[in-house]
Amino acid sequence: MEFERFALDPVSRRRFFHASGVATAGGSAALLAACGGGSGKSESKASTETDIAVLNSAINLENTAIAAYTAGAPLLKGELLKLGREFLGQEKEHADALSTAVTHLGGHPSRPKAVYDFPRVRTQRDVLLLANMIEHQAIAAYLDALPKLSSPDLRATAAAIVTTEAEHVSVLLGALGRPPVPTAFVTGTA
Amino acid sequence: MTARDPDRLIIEDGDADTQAIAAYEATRRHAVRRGLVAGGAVIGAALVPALLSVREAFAAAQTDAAILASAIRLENTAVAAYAAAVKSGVLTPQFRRTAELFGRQEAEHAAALTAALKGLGGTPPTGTDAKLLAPLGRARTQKQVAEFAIQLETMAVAAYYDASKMLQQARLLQTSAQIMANEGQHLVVLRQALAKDPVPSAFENGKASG
Repeated sequence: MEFERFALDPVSRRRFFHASGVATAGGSAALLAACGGGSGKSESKASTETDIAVLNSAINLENTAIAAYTAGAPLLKGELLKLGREFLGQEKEHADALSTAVTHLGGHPSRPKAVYDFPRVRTQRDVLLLANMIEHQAIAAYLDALPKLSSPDLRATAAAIVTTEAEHVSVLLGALGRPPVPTAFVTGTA
Repeated sequence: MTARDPDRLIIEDGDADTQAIAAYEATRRHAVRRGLVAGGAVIGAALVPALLSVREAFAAAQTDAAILASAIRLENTAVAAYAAAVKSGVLTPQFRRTAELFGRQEAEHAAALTAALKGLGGTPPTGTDAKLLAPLGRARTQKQVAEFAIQLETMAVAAYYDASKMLQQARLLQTSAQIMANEGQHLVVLRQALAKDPVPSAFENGKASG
């Protein structure tokens, strides 16, 4: 129950994600965007800087998810352990692809933090709730970021990642005994 | 290979679209790998050429209004598909409730897209794509209905993926991604119903997942 109280408290969630390098707005994660205008920079340079800032914030979220699935794996059993490992591998694929994109744009990809201060998880259910919370935050953040990305390919990649995270959510909700597809529009808000 | 093989893409007008053929072949190879095309499970594979034409309509759309019109037609077709699935008489009560829910959600998508298109001054299309629905009439088992739905949802994901490269308005881009994510969630439930991996790809773009 201790973890469920944490997961339901927007202030606790905001503190947690802020400590993980993820900005939040209105209780939901938002990917950071550099302010490009008014500084005398060319438009393309400003949009590149925005892309790098947005992508690095997304990498922070992916690294948070990687840390959560890694920390939670010992508490998962059977099919859920198998799925947890699969989701962990997919979050790593996201982080790798985003890091490659940042490097390609001339930036330095965000690195994982040395320590992630997760709330204590004691049961398989706690792990599912933690993963569900992080996946929701990721979806909201990517949706916020989509229009800020300058290139069509980056926008399409973000849309594909949002869809995979939404699929993770469906599996997690089902495992928690909740409706797996609760709304027609996936917004990342609980 | 025969001219009537339902597992084959037939180009009849001589105006071959190499990209479409490549996409079809990739999809078919994947379907074969996953056993979709074996035995009586050809319903989904028979749908692939018709679905590709829908996706091409998305790809050919040059404006937000044209993309919305393509999306509305696809959503209307999905609504009709789930309604036909519900009436097929081959679904268990639980799967029928799932089909009813997904049909309602496709209708919500269609309504939102219709409002958006009207907001742009466009006229929403009506009707459905009969070519897409035809294979569903041959479904005799719940498994075949689920396979049909997987192909339909997969192509919808691919269409919205393409749309995310082209949409200009920020709000439409976000709505498109929210719908694409919902179609992905439908895929999870459908794949689980067929004991498949529910999330087979880290990048769900509708191009290689079944």
